[in-house]
Amino acid sequence: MKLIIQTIIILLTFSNSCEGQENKEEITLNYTAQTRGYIYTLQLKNKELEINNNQVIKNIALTEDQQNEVSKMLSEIDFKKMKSNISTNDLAVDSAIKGAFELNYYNKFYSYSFDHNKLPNKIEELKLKLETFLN
Amino acid sequence: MRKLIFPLAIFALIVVACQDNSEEITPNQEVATIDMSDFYVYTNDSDIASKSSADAKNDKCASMKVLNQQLKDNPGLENRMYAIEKHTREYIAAKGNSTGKGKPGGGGTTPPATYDGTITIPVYVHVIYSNSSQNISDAQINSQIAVLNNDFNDTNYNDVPTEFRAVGADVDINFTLNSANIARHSDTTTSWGTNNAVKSEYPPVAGYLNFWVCEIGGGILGYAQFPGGNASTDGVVVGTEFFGSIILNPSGYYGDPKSPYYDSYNKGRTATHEVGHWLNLRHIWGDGRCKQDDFVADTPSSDGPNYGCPTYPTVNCNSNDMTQNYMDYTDDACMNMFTLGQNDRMKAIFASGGARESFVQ
Repeated sequence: MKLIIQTIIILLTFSNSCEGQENKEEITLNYTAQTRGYIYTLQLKNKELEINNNQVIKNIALTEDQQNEVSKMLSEIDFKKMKSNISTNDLAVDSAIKGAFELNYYNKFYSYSFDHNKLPNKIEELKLKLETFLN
Repeated sequence: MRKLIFPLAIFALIVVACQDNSEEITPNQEVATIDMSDFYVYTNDSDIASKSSADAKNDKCASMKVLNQQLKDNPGLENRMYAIEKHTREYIAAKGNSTGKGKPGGGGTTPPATYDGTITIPVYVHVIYSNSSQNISDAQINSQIAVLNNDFNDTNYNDVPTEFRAVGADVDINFTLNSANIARHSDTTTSWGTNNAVKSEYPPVAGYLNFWVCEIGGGILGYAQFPGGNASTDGVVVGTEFFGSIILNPSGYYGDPKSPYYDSYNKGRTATHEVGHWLNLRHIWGDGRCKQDDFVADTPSSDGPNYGCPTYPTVNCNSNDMTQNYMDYTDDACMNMFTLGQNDRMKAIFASGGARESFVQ
């Protein structure tokens, strides 16, 4: 019995070490894409949204409806199946821009490196939706 | 004590299972006279890997290996890039210096014969424009050639910090452009992207360093191709407003003066940087964190690119970044040097058996 308990403790300890960071915020999204001559950052912390599109900076407090819309879009993304899609070889010859995507979503942390000009469809839709809130 | 053995064995099993299952590319391993253990085409850098708490197994245990489109389309490229890197290290090892990666081993192959003279590279420029201002003048094109010739024949290192002066290099490569080798094409395409479409539309001319000057879009200033790639896409693409030097040719077209980076990239260093790639140089930070190398011994490790005009010293990975290097991402005005180690890497591809040997034959 002791053996089983010890085994379970070790497994749980190791499993926890693999867990990502947790955040009490319901939604925190940070996305940064930068290369020589270009920067795009998107920061969303619950209702506070700020986008820097090549030094044009806009921010807004989202309405409740807008927050619900964002939450719905996020809930429809299967982050377990989402994969980074940046190619190191493309980065090495400057033909791609790495977009670092980090999301805290209801205590789960997700982090990906995307090709900024080839974002996964659902992420592109989310980015475009957030941009429309600032227009 | 025995009670601990079973759980410890499980722990060890988990640790082993979570070790990086990297797929290091080591083709043609039969001759192991040069250390190639750090060579990479793919990456297993944690900076690139996807992570999610909901996918912890993939998070920690699986290396994210992303093939780029070129590698997918051209499976032999991997072997060619390996062969070029091995050739480069054999060349550097034979030179017997420590400025590049090239650790000699026991026995082995005949080192590549060096080419010691000045190297002259003829240039062919394709100008593709969708409006008249993008149809840049010969003077602007020639200003870019002048910048290349200045940067690849630099003998003054007083413009870099003292600690880097001893490794400054006169690369001794000349670029020549005959006015007949400027081809101008009116085209309705307003943004060409980085998928080599412009090269398909306007193919390269063999025997030249081909430049395509066009609107790339997507925030990209320019992109290149390493030696060993497909000949049909070999060359350098540079965004129109970043080709040429406003210092040497003030009346040229350098984009919208109100754009946020107008003054940062209008002095011709985008082409210098991309030609560095074309001559087999990697980014000075190795496209990864501190552990990822650019395969050059006399450039300091760094964990990422630098932007703007950084104040010296910029410290990363326990050393001062060489932000003045053409292979960093700093502003045109703040780039001033190649190193001796980078020079060796570039020269290696012109040695016997090198990927660009034909330019000196």
